[in-house]
Amino acid sequence: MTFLRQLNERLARNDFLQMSLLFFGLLVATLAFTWPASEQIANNSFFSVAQVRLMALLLLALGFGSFELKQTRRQKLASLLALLTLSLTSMAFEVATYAVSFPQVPLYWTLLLGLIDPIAYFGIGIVLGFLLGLVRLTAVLPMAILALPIGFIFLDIPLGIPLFNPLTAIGQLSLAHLFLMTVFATLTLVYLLSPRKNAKL
Amino acid sequence: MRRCSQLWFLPFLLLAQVYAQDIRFELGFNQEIVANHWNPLVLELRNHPPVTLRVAIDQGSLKEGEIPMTYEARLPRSQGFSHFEDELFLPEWRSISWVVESEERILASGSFPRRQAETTPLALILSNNLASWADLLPDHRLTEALSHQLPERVAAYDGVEILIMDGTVTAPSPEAIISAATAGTRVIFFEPLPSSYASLLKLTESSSRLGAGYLLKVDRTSLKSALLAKQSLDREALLAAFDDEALTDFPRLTRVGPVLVLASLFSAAILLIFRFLPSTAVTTSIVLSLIASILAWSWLKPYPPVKEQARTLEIAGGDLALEQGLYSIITLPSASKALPFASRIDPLLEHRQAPNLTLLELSRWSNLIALKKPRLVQAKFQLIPSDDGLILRNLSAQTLQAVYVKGRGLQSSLAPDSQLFVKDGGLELPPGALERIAPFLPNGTALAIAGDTIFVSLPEMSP
Repeated sequence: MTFLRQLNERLARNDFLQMSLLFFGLLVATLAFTWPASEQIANNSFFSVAQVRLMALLLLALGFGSFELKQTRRQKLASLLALLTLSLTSMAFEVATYAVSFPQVPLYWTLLLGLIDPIAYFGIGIVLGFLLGLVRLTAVLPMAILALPIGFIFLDIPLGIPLFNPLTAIGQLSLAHLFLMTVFATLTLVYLLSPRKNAKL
Repeated sequence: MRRCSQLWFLPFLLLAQVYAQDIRFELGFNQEIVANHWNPLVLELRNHPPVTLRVAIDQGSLKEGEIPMTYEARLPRSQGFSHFEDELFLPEWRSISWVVESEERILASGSFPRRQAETTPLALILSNNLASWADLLPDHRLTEALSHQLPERVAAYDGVEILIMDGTVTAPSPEAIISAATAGTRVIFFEPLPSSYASLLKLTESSSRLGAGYLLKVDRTSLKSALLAKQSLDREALLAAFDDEALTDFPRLTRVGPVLVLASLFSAAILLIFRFLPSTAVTTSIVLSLIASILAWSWLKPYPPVKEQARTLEIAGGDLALEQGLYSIITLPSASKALPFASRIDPLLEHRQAPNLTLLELSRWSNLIALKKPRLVQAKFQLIPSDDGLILRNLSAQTLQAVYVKGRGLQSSLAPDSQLFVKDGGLELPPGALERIAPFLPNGTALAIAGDTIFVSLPEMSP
C-alpha cells in the first residue's frame, strides 16, 4: 500500500471524520458569533477564528500523538499528515476573516503557525503519552491533553514572551515561539522518519 | 559650620531663580484660555541652552479616563533674547502642565487648573481703563491686552469674539488687527482716536469686512448698538456643517448570512471529499481550499482599506480670507500618521503635536477628522460692490462651479481670472456642501465650489 493511499484512508476513517466535523463546526460557529452585524463595529472575527482553529489543531495534534502511541511510525506519520491536510483545508476560514479584519500580523505568519505548531504538538503528544504510559496513568490522558496547553499559557506569563502559548503568538510575530516550535517539529519529524525498529516510543 | 553645610543647595536655587526670571510662558491672552479653541502660546527666554517646551494636556474625563495630548517644541541655543510663538488647540481639559527643560535641568514649569477651562470667548480690551468697559460689556469675558504683545496670526484670535481699542494705549500693529478681523473677531475702534491710530483707521476705509470678521468705527452714540450687534459669523456652527462633508462611513461589509452558508457548504464539501474520494482526498481538498481562499479574499476584502479626504473652506471678506482646512481619514488597519500641519482632532484621541505637525496612532477600524489650524490667505473669490451692481471675481486657477449668491440665486460658472455681474437666478441651492453651510451665512453671501475647496465671500456690512 502506498503512503498516499494510507493517508487518504486515514482521512476517511471514522474517528478522523468525526473530529473534522467537530473542527469545521467549531469554525462555523465561531464565525457566526464573531462576525459583526454593523459596519460601524470593527470586524474582529479573524482573531477568534485564528485562535480557535490553531487551538483545535493543537488539541487534535496532542490527542493523536498521545493516543496512537502503539501505532507504527508510518501510521503516526499518516495521522500527522492527515492533521496537516486538515490545517491546509481550513486555511480558507483564516484567509476570509483576515481579509476583513486587518490584523497587525502578516497572513503568512498565522498560516505558518498552523503548520509548524501542530507538528511540534504532535511530538509533544507522543512524549506525553509515553510518559503517562510509563507511570501507568494513561487514564488521565484526556485531562492531560487539555491541561498541557493551559500549563503552557501560564508558563508564558512569568517568562513575558510568547514562547509556548500559541494564542499570544498568533497576535504578534514571535521569533522565540517560531524557533522553539521549529525545534520541536524537527525533532518530531526526525523521529517519525527515522527507520529505528526497536525503539520503545 | 553645620548651619553653613545645610545651605549647599543655595547656588542651585539661585541658578533656578535666574532662569525662572528669564523665562516667560503665556498660554492664552493674559493666561485667559478659551477651551475648545486655538489659543496663543508664547515662550520668551534669555541666554539659554537648547531647550524643549513640553505641554502635556489630559483631554479625558471621569467617564473616558485619561486621553493625553502632548505638544513639543524645540528651541536652539540662544545667547540673547529669543521669542517663540505658536497656537495650540485646547479642548476642555482635565489638566494642563508645561515644562521648559534643557538636557541637564528643568528651567521652568507650571500648570493650569481644570477650573480655568472656560469655553466663553474673550473680549480683548486695549485700554488703560478696563473697569469702564466691564460696565458696558457685562455678559462678556473681558481681558486686558497689551498692544505690543498682540499676536500677528489669525489662529491666535480663534477664541476672541471682540477686540476694542479706545486709544488710551499705544496703537497695535496693523498686522495684528488684520489677523484678528480675518479670524472672525469684531474689531471696534472707539473714536475719537489719537493720530497714532491713523494707519489702523485706514483699514476701515476700503472695506469694513475683512476675512471672517469686520472692523468698525464707533463713537459714543453708536457704541451700544455696535456692541450688541451679532453680525459676525457663527464659526462653530459653520465648521460643524463643513465637518459633515468628512468621511465617516465605513465600507459596507458582507452580511453574516451568506458567509455562514458558504462556510458550511465548504466544510461539508471537504468532509465529503475526505469520506468519498479515497484515492484523491488530499490533493482535491487542498486544491478546493486554495480556490476557496482566493475567492473569499477577492469577495470579502473591502477596498480601499484606508480612505483619506482633504477639503478646504475659504471665508473671504474684502481682499483677505480665512482658510480652514479639513482632513478626514477612515482606516481599517491600524496606522501611524504624521500630518504636516497642526490640527484639532475629532474625536478626542491620544496624539502628539509639534509646530506644523500632528502625530497620530490610529487603531483598527477608526475614523477621525483633523481640522487644520486656520490661516490667512489672499481671497480668491471676491464679491465686489460697484455702481452697476455686485461683481463676482474668480482669482483662483480653477473654474468655480455651483456659484450661488444667497438671496439672488444660482449664477453661471466662473472661469479663472474672470468676473461676472450678479443677476437673479433660480433660488434652489445646489445639493451637498453648499446646502449645508448656507443657512449659517448672512444674506448676500456668495458661495462656490472648485475641486475640494468651498469658497465663501461675505457681503459688505449692512449699516
